[in-house]
Formats: sequence, structure tokens, C-alpha cells
Amino acid sequence: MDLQHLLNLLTIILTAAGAFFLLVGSVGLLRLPDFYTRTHATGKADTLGIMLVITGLIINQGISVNSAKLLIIVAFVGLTNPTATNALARAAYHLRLKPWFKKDKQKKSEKKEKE
Amino acid sequence: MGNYFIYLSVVLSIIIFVPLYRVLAGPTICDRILGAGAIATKTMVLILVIGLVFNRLDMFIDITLAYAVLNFIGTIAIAKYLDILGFKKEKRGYKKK
Amino acid sequence: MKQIFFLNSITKFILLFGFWLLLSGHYDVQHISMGLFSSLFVILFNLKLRKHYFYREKLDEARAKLEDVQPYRIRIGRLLYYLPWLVWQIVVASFQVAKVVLHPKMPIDPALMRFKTGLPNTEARVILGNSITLTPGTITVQIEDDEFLVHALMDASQSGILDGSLPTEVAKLYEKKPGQVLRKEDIKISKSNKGAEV
Repeated sequence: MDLQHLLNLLTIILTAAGAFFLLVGSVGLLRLPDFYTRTHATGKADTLGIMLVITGLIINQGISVNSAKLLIIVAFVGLTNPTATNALARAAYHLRLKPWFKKDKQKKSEKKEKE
Repeated sequence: MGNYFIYLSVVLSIIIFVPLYRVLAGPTICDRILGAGAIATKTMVLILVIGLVFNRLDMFIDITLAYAVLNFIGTIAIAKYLDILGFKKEKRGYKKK
Repeated sequence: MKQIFFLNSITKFILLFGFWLLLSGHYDVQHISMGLFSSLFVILFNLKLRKHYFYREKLDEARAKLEDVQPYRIRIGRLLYYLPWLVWQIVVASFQVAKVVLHPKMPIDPALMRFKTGLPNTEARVILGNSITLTPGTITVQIEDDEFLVHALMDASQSGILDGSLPTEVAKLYEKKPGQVLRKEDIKISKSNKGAEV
């Protein structure tokens, strides 16, 4: 009984933390200034978020066939999410998307002030 | 515990709407695809949690696996297409202003 | 060579069949025979492609033996240390991203870094590329032969590339005592669109 409560608490903590990191990934997608910086948000925060939520579900399920399948999903997401991010960043680089730099922005604002 | 998963699924479905802005308003096509991928990632989690709510996790896990594979292959295919497009532009001496 | 390839195919077939058994919850004659048929079909369908890759890999190993270089094999023991370390790195990276994103002023200073590594084979480069994406503050943009192009979110010195710890960690997966994987003079950092060879 006591152990069951502890496991439930652990599941709640892990899934809530995962939801928080998924939210961070989404907000980063909105707030960051250009494509390359946005890939940082989805490549890292989303991977950790999905891993945390699924780990919480594994703890909830205990040792069963479902847990083995969930482990496969964790491994698959951990492998493919960074790879997809890399592929998109490479495509953007070949499409000549220019990255956003702090210095360029400062120069632009200085020019505006001079005018 | 059952109630908690219902709340979690509600929160997740609200989170899904946030990257939708990037899909609709993204300045470049790469931004849109990135947003679509982020939505797909969150949908996977939502499907799993809904499976827990309905007590049919065994069925929903299979759906999630198929969805993960589809998401990955779709993103890779679009990235490859854009890659080839970039190379062609480079060949023609395309210059961005 | 042919015998080894045959054994390799058998191993892959058993792995695929095990995966089928795990995914299908039914263990009666009909479902198991369907699994046998589909795994066999996948193996036969991919035979030509796998032959191509397999023979090329074996040729590379034979060449390495002729030139008296040790063939590179991934070390399982080291992998058991590397994976938890990588998970810890993902946690640190996500907290960093969370801090940057939720900060009202967003203290970012992006930079593009270009460097060459002396990693032994393609596999190691793939591992390094994925690891760079998952470790704090950096993502891989492009890999051309030995040359990596990396986009860094924060100040470039904070990421584990400048001191060469991450490439060394990956090289340790293959050799016990790797030489110098990355030279500091080879790293080019550009923080502006002007004058950069993009």
C-alpha cells in the first residue's frame, strides 16, 4: 500500500516535469528569434520532455509487456528526434537561411540611431 | 490517479496549440516543418495519456509507435527534398538578397 | 565470407522475429506463422542492399588489418558508461534551454563554429553528431567528411567542444587511449554574417 503511494507520487512528479519541458519547447519555438535557435528548443527540451513522461508511464505500468514497448518508444524517440533536427538544420543551411547574430542586430540599431 | 491523467491530457492538449502559431505564421518553410514536428511529438505523448485514461494502453502504444515512425520518415523526406532544392539553386548561381 | 553473411542474416531474422513476438500479444499458430512469413519477407527484400553494405564493411576491416591498424569496434563496456552520461547531459541541456527561454531578456549570443576531428570511422561521426545536438548549447548543422559545422546558442566557450571533451569522450568509445582528436587552432568561430564563409 505504502509502496503504491510512493510509485504514484513518482509518476505524478515525472509526468508533470515532462509536461513542463514540453511547454518550454513550445514557448521556445515562439520566442526565439530565428530558425537555428528554434531548433535548440525542439531538439533538447522536447526530447527530455517525452522521455520523462514515458518514464513516468513505465513506472505506473510496472514490469509488463507494455513497459517493454514503452522502452522501445523511448529509445526510438531518443535516436530519431535529434536526427530529424539535424536533417532540417542541414536543409536550411543549404537553402542559405542566414543565422541571427547579436552583433548584426546591434549594428542595425546603431545605423537607425545615426539616421 | 484517474483524475490526474485527465487533467494531464487537458494540459497537454493546451500545450499542443502553442507551436501551431509557428506553423501558421513561420517566416520560412523550415520553421513551419519544425513546428509541425513539435506538434507531432506532443501528440504522441497525448495519445499515450489518453490510452491510460481509457484503460486500453496496449492498443494505444501500437498507434504511438506507428505515429513516431511516420513522423520521423515524413520529416526526413521533406528535409531531403529541401536539401535537393538548395543544391539546385546553388548550381544556378542563385543569390539571396 | 558467404558463410559469415549467411549467419548474419540468420541473426537479423531472429532479432526481427523477436520484435514481432514482443509487439503482437497473441501466441497462437496463425499469428506466429504470419510473423515468420513477414520477417522472412523483410530479410529477402533487403538482401541486395545489406549485401552491399556488409561486403564494404568487411573489405574496410580487411584493409585495416593489412595496413596493421586495429579494426575499430565499439566497446560495450564504455557504452554502458557513455549512455548515462549522455542522459545527464540531456537534462543539463534542457535546464539551460528552459532558463534561456523563460528569461525575460533572453540572453542569447549565437555563433557558428567549424572544426575538423580525427575520428576513426563514419559510425563515430554519427554518434558525435547526435551527441552534439543533445549536449548543452549546441546543435550540428552539417557534417562533410571530417568537417563539422556547429551552431551554438550561448557563449561558445560554455559548450564542451572548445576544450575537446565531447569528441574525446566519443573517441574513447573506440580506442582506449585516443590521440588528440581536436586541435584548438582548427576551430573557427564566426559571430557575424559579414565576412563569414557561409
